[in-house]
Amino acid sequence: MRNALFLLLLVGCAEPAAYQYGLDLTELEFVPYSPDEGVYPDESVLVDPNNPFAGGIGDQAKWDVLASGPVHGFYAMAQSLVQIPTGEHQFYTAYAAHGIYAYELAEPEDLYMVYDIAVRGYRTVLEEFIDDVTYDPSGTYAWYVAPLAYLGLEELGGDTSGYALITADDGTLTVVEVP
Amino acid sequence: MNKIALAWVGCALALPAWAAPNHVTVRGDDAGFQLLLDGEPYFVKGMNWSYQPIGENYRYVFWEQPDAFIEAALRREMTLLTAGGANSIRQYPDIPPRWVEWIYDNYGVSTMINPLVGRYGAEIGGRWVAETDYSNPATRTALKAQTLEAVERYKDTRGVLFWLLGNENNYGLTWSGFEIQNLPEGERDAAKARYLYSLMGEIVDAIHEVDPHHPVAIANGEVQYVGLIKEECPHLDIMGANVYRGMTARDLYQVVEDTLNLPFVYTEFGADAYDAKAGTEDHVTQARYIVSQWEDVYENAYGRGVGNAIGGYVFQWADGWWKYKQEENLDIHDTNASWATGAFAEDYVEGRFNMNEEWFGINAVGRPDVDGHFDLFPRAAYYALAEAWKLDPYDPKTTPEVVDAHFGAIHPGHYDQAYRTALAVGQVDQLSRAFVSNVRVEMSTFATTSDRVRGMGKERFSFDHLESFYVETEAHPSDTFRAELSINALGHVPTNRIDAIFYESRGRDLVGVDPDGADVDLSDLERIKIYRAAFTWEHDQFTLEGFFRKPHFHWGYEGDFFGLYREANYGPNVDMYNGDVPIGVELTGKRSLEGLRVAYGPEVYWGANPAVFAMYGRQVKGMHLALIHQEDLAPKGTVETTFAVPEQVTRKTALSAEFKLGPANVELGGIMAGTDRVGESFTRVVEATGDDGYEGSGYHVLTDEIAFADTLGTRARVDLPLGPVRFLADGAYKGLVADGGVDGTQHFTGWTLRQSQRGNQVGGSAGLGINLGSLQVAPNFLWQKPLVGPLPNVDDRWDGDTGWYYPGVTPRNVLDDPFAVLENRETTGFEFLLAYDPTPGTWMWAWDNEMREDASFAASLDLTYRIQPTSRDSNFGFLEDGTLFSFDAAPPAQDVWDARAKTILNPRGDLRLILGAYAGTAQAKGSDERLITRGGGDVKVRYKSMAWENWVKLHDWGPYDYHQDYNNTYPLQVISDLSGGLTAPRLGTRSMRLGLAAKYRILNEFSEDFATRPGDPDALGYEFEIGTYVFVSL
Repeated sequence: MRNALFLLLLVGCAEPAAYQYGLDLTELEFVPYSPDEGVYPDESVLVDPNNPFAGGIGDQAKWDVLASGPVHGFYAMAQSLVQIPTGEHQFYTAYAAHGIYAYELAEPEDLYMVYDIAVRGYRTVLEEFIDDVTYDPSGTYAWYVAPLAYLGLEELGGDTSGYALITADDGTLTVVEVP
Repeated sequence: MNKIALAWVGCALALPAWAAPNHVTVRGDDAGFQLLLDGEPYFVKGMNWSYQPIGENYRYVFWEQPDAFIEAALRREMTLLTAGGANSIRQYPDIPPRWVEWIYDNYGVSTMINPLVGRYGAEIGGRWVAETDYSNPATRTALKAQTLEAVERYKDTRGVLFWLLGNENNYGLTWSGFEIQNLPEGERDAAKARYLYSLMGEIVDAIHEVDPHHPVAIANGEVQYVGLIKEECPHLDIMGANVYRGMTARDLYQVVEDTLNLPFVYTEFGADAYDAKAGTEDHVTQARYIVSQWEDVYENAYGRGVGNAIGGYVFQWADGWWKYKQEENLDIHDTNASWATGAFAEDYVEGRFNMNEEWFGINAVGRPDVDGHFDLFPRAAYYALAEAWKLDPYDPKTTPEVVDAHFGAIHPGHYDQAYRTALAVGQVDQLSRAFVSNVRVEMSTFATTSDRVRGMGKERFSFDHLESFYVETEAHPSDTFRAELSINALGHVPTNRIDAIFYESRGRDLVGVDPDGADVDLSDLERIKIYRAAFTWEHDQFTLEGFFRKPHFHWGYEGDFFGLYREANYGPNVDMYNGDVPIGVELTGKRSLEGLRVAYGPEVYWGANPAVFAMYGRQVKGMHLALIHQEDLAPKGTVETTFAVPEQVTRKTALSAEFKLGPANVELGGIMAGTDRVGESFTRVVEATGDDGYEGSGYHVLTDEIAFADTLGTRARVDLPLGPVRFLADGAYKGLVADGGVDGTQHFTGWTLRQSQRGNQVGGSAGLGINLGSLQVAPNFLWQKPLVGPLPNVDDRWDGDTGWYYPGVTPRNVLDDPFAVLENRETTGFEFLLAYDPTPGTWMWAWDNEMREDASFAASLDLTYRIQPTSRDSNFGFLEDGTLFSFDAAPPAQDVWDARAKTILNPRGDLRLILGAYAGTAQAKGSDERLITRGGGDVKVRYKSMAWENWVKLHDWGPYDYHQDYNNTYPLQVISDLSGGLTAPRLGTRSMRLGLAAKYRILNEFSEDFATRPGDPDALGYEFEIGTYVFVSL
């Protein structure tokens, strides 16, 4: 009997293992966790209880999630931005926030914060990742993300000072720093 | 009555005979005066003795030091003192009576106790009065009481010779008062002196009332006021004075005789050992003065001359480096003179001081060691006095002629060499306490090229050079403390080497950007760096060792059965990756602390978190028990190499027992580790049966939690010698987080197949060593299996139609998960080892065997095969910018084999050949799936001081950790190094060598820096480096 008790003590009273299934994200809502969430180099998305991808998101899944809408896309891209800080991830995070703001997919009292995240996210692309590119789904053609961020900033009335959008002869858009 | 009681009676009877104070009297007759000690004439061969280390001043109180320190110092000092013939010392009443007795009992040296009677101020009515007013009734009462208190304290003490009151108090009559100021100026001092001497007289009388055993003297400044002394001190027993009259005292004895009719003792006399005129030490002249002064004493001792000289106290035993200015330059032997007298004519110049207070010692003083003890270096005066004092002044045969002849035969100059030799030895000893032990200069050149460089002929080569300098210093401040410090300084650092990471590469040009965007040259940040530092303190109860980049051993042989405290010896890697490891301190207990080991430091082995380790082991009834605990204190901040990635902060405790069971040596142990991870969740998988499992992976994915049982583990090892056969079995069961460390202990042979000490496994190994003469055959078997297997890669998936997200599964890693399957992966291994070594004294498997093997022929062959039916979890790698990351996958399940052979030949004493060969398959540390099949070998020839060493590798990894992480291999790597020096290469030393070294590599698509050639996609690349080096080591 004493041995059995000792064994019980050793084994403890841990919960039985739980099988892992998918997560139903149909009801996912955007609730900003911090004013800097989704703006490099902030990493608060990792501890945001509303982030369903905090355990990591894969390369393919992030695009699929982004395509399903700005709320899911924000968390997928903000998570990717922390995993691999690139201009591409920063741009799409800001782009998703832009969408949440434009379509008012957050509580009204949170919308200004979402707007600010989008503006600062675009601005961060210019300041930190001006030479980064994004690719088409085939991975063949690349575009600079800075012009897209610049246009996003203009659309939101954000601060573009210090940068200029230039159109080359072939129609390619480029952002350059101006004194 | 038993024996103990009898012994007590014996002691009691014996007590009065030796415990009573000495009876000291003065005897006078027509022939003069003598001091009698217990009835026997006692010629005072005294010394103004004190113990003051350099750097201290008058505030230093020797008698307040610990007893052990005092006794050690006294043993050194009194041995020297008595060897020189002295028999008495002068001490102020701060010497504890027990030390007076100790000195007397052990060395026969008496003590003259010297209350100062307010000479340098006194505490009057509870406050300190710096200027003593001998006319003040309260002052007189207090001084008298204080003096009598001292007398009471010492009067029954063995070894007390007599009382000495004051110290030139007649030179300190500085007070002023209404009564004194009203006197004519010429009479003021005499009036004050009368107050002084009247007090002295009162005290003399009072002492006589309480102490019938010891006479009383005063320490007057010269014989000033001798008339007053006669009037005011009518019962004074001995006239004493500090006298600096040069070669002789001239009429002093006669003045004392005529005025006082008392015996005379010098309370201070002597000469300084510094020639103020020449500005140099002159101890021979000092000795001449002192010998002459003592001849004067002998000539006026009982039965000769005036007959009243009873001896004296030489001023002084040792130099006092504090005396000039007393508060400043305490560790400088000041050569400033502070008073003048023409009595010492050799260095007297009118209008200039010639007496150097800091140079009056008949011994020079050495600097103190860490304990505060110091050496003395006897000057000529010491030796001359020893010679002078051999003459017994009271021997009837000691006539004036004998005295004259005796002192005439003493030539102080003869002792000059003895002093200088002793001083030189002392200075060498002093220098050896801190010295530059070695200087190394390493200069190399490198000419490199590769297929990526375009050009013709010499233009294809880039040339660069390296200069690296090492200064190694050692310090031995005492016999028990040793420290070493090695500093590296860089000259030029090359940028063209094909192996771009090396110790000196830290000094390459580095440009940063400041907040304004401007370039900042950061090249000089690490041009000078501490290469290695260490110290060892051998305390009575422990050894304390500090280490920085200096290897240390593990505790495996002392009871650390689970290898928690790992050996830290990283060979060239610690330089290559610029690791500042190990760093910490380690304490090893001795005597009452025997069995205790403690280590603490920021990184006591490479990859360790800041931690403390403590182990205690002891023998209990034929069994050695050991308990060890590891407590991580914080996470380590930086990572230099992927083979030393720090794991999560944790704590571990292990208990082990080692004992004999018949012929077998048995070790048993239990470990509890990672208790702070209980409750943490982790993912595991089980094979799906009947369906495709999670996301078609073939597995069901489960989320689980660490339980307390997962922190526990156990291990057993049996070593059984049976004649020529020796059997070793080792087995363990360890919970998921019950991680041990690394077992660094050696078996009786050189098996490479060992069970991992990581948690999450069950398994064991068993092997035999069969000794057939000089041949050993050693088969070995290993089986280990993780309790929870590694995680497969399952991609995450988003189902846009349903809005469901299916998280992916990636292999675990040791930083983000509570445990991971790494070297504890499922393995069934077989090993077959053959060794031929006719001289087992130089063990074939010792790390330094290539240097030490002394057999004319020794060889080994080791074959291993590992069956690995499953994969493992994830390791770490570095990104190009230095970011540490976890690989998202691991190589697949794959069996691997390995074969290694080694031969050492010593065909003649000055020629050694070392041949090695290897072949096998291996997997990357990262995620690359490619299994490499590699081979190679080395040929090393050492002939006298020449060395030619060559390595060849085929399809093997490159030299750096990341080559193995990323599976970067080269079709061919060749290194050749030819060098010669003054001596043969030796272990642990960098001898002087000149050499020529070359590296050649062929590159393909798996190699770092390989660039496909346009138009010739099948072409291989290459890189080549050739250079020279010069190592100069002093």
